[in-house]
Amino acid sequence: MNTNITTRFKQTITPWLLVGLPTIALGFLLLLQANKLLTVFQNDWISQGIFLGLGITAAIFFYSNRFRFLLITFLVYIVGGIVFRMMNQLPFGESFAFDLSLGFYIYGALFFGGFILAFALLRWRIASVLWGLLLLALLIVQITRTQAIYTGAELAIIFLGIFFYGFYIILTTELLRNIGSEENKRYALLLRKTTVGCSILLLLTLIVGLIFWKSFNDLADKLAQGHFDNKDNSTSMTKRNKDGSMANNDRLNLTGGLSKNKTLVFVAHLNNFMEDGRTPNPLYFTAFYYNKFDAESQSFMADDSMPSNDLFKPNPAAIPLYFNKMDTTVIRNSKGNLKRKIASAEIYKVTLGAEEFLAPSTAFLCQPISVPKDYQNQFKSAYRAQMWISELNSAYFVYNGGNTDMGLEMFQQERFNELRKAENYSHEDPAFMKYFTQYPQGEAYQKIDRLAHQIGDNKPTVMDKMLAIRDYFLQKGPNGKTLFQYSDNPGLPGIPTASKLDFFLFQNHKGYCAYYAGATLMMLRALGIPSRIAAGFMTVDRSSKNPGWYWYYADQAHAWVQVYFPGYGWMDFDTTVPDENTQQAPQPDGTPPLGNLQTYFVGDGTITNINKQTKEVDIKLQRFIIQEKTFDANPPVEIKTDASQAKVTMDTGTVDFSKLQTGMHVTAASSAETLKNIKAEETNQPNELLKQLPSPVPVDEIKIVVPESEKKKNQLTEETAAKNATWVSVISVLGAILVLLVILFYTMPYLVFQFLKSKAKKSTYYSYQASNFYLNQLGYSRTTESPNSFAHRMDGLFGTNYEKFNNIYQKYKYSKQELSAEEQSFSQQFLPDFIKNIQQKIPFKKRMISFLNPFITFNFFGKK
Amino acid sequence: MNNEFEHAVALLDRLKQNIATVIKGKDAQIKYILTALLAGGHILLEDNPGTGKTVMAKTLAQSIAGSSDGHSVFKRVQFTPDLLPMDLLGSNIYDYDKKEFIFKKGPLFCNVLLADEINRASPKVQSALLECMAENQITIGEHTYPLEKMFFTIATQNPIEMEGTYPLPSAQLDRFAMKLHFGYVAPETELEILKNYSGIASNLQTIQQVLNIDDILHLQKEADAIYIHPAIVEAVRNILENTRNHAMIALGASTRAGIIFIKCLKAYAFINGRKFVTENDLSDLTHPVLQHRLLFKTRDGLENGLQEILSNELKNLAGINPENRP
Repeated sequence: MNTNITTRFKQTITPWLLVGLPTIALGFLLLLQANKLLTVFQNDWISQGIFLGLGITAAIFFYSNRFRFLLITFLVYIVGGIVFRMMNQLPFGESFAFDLSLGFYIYGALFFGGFILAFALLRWRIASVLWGLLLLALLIVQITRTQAIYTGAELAIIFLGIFFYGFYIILTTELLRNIGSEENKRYALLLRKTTVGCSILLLLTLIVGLIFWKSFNDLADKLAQGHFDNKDNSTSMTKRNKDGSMANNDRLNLTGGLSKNKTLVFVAHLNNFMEDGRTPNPLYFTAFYYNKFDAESQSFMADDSMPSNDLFKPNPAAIPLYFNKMDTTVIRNSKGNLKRKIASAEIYKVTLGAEEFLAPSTAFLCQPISVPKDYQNQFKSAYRAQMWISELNSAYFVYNGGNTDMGLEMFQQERFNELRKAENYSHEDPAFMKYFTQYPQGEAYQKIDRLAHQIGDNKPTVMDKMLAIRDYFLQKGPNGKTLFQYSDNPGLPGIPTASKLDFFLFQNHKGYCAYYAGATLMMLRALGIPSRIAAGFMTVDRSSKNPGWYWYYADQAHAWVQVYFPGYGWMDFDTTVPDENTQQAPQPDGTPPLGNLQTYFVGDGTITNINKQTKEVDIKLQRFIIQEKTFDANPPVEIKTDASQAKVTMDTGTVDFSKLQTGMHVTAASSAETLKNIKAEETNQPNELLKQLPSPVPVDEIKIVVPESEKKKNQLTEETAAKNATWVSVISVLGAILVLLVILFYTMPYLVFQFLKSKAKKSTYYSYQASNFYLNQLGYSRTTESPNSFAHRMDGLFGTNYEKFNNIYQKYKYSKQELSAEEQSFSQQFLPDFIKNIQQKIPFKKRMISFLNPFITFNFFGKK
Repeated sequence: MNNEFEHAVALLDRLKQNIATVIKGKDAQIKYILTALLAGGHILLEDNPGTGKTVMAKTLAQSIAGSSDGHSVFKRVQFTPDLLPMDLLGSNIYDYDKKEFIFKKGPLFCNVLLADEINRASPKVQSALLECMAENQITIGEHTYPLEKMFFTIATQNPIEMEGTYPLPSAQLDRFAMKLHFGYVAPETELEILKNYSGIASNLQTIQQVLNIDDILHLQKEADAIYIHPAIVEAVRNILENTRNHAMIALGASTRAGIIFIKCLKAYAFINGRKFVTENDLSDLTHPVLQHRLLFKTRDGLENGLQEILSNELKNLAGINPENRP
């Protein structure tokens, strides 16, 4: 009985370790990825992965215990259905039940998927091949559908990883199927078959990849140019954060081009209209500035120590909902007071990272706001910004592509005229001037300098010089086409080193925004005009349906220049030529998240108690807002809130009510009509105001504020771990571990033998074990023969003295007599001769294949 | 001491060679039979008719007993369905001269008994053998008669599937130290036998007595003094226990079986010229000693059950590092 149970246990644990565990690990990675891309998954990859793993484990258990597939699958399905029914009967709130059932669907699907997958892998020999193919297909879809932020090396790692996994699974499942009836010949055949099969698979994928995968060509280009291993050459203006959200690529050197990608990054409502009050006036959204050119690395840098720093960079995720952060020094530092006004904008994030802040320059206020209820699934979070903007700035003007509108043309001329009135730079702070006109030395830069003077010297004002540079890029060649062209693939990725700018300006005439911005900046600075590069998103006004609303896709990530005019401040100029090949196709924008209710009460504090049945949450308030006035609760006061109608949000989007926990820092906001009339008089006792509130207070949103320390930690680990810590590096590390484990697994027989051999020098016991192991690994194991007749047979096969050694060893082990000197020296000398004899009889190839088979090793150490 | 041992081994070798002049190609079986003899047990030979069982028994009997000094110590009884217990044991016969019952000894009063085709006799007769095989004595009526000091039974039987046979009761089977399958000889040996059958037959007629009863008793004592390592004793214990707990075995081996097993192991090592018992002895003897005592639930169990237990135990033994012993 005992042996029976242990065999069963072994039959279960072996496939679980060899097939189940790697598959579960892969499942975790896939789910992590899926959670980033698809909102239905609700950021819950750990428990989802556990369910998948449970499914796989269950399947392996049932398979190993010889359950019939159809029957057990049916049973599992029925049990799942009953549990689901029961859950629906339980008295939860309606929305809670919905979340629950959605979660259950996902868990159930994953469990069942894992179950079917594992059962198929173990039972059906084609399943492992199909599974490998499916993984590859998924991978291709994933890479082509999302941002092309992978370098060649990363791609190679991912593909090799998946291939290795596929190869491993195919081989291992085959082996497990044949584990009882094993022979060396068969194993070699299997190994060969698997290798051939995988090679065909690889070839097929390559063919498919070449046909369907455009980016593959880019990779080939890169390969040809020898930039394969240069990680910084990522060709994107956006980057992916660790959690899958997006941000402008703020690597310290601006390199790479635009990716043509239609992922929606964010939606913004910009409250900036023309003088008529109706016509919307779009502005570029700035993320940060590249203000310094580093001659050493020949690249542009974002430098925090610039004089008159007017970059407002708050972290919206760290500010409680509806509270605001303001920095008015940036208004002074913007150095502009002519034709300036305050405007506001609301930004609704889709894939933009929760901690990112983008606004037209110069922003000075940030206030996180709530996403209207109907749009929770679409937008993760939102904030309001206020900016000190110039009336002269407009996306229509800076974007120089084909302005045919006469009204706009006139308005643009007016703006130029206005700016022509600007004073010269003689009254400016020398440090400021020096910083923003810094120009590198060198032959290549001299060439650009000469070109700039050739273009701009005869122009009277800064404005005219700027226009001359713009016109230089727009000039038409003899064939009627513009001399400079827009291209995503200018051949040499990464600007602007001197040679690359040189190549762009004087030979190639092709580039994307960063090339134009870089070249313009160099020329402006050569002419002594203070300027900098702004990075962010260009605004495209596509429809007049919802004036003031703009949609931002990943391919709108942009770089342009800002020129300083005394009195007017920094002005946006975009010298990038329009892309003639891919004219902006009219892109239908979705519905904006309208209908944001007036918020009457906001409380910020810590959760002290949660009642899951009534969904009442007690919050100890630190601060609160009533009728848009902020008060400090002194001392902190506890209120009861009714969260039955509330959505629970995090920076990453809407989450389940169950995510709320006691002790969490949250912000609760309410737009309830009953609170409309509460008053917010100035008083010395702010806590008195709270007495107007009903108990419990109905709230519409509870936002979980992730503690700053936790975020810092995340950031730190992100920075220290690797510059671009993406899931790619996670995969590669895991892949490396897996590869190592598998290599270890397959070299195990050899290592075991070496261990035994090393010990054999001093010990008869280990000589005996080593010789037995060696024979066993070569496929000669004693089955029903007696030890002596087995030894006798081996001696007949290999001409060894195995039987004699065996007898001496037995004497040594079981007798009271001492070994004679002759016997002792014989047993010490035995192993090397023994191995030599066998090596002469068995060819190397056969020996090697035998030693690559760890399953025989299990037989040696395991019980029958 | 050492000389004595070597002398004994030489004696045994002579015995083996003597038998081998008649019985060709059965060295392993000869060793087993001698093992049973030295262990003080009895042996059951099973196989199809004509495989040399009877010749084997006769040869052995003649080698150790001979027929020289008038009273023969070798008896042969052909078992038939109508054989009665008193035909074996003997009976009280009324002596008209002396006017009293006198006991007439049956064929059991001998040193080597060849019970030919034992399974043809009825269970009644088989049971009659029980006491004499276990306790070397016979009880008839009020009197108990001791048998010879050295009493060795060689029983032969045809496989029980054949017609006109009665399977031996397990109590009876347990009395046999070993059950051997004789089997057919190898093709080359068979050819040799066919060529020289007359020579072999005459060998049997002229076979010499090489040992006498005292020699055998002495060798039995010598065999009992062979060293057996505690690890091997433990292995025997494990095997016994595993036969009792095995899923495919209905009836496991008894402790008596274990004692006989140990005795056989020692004798076997002795016959192989060793002063100690090895794993190899264990491997060789497990089946002959234990197989016939077990009741298997399935055919699979009959074929593989004991081998599985043995293989596990041998693996355990192989894993013991002699250098670690205290």
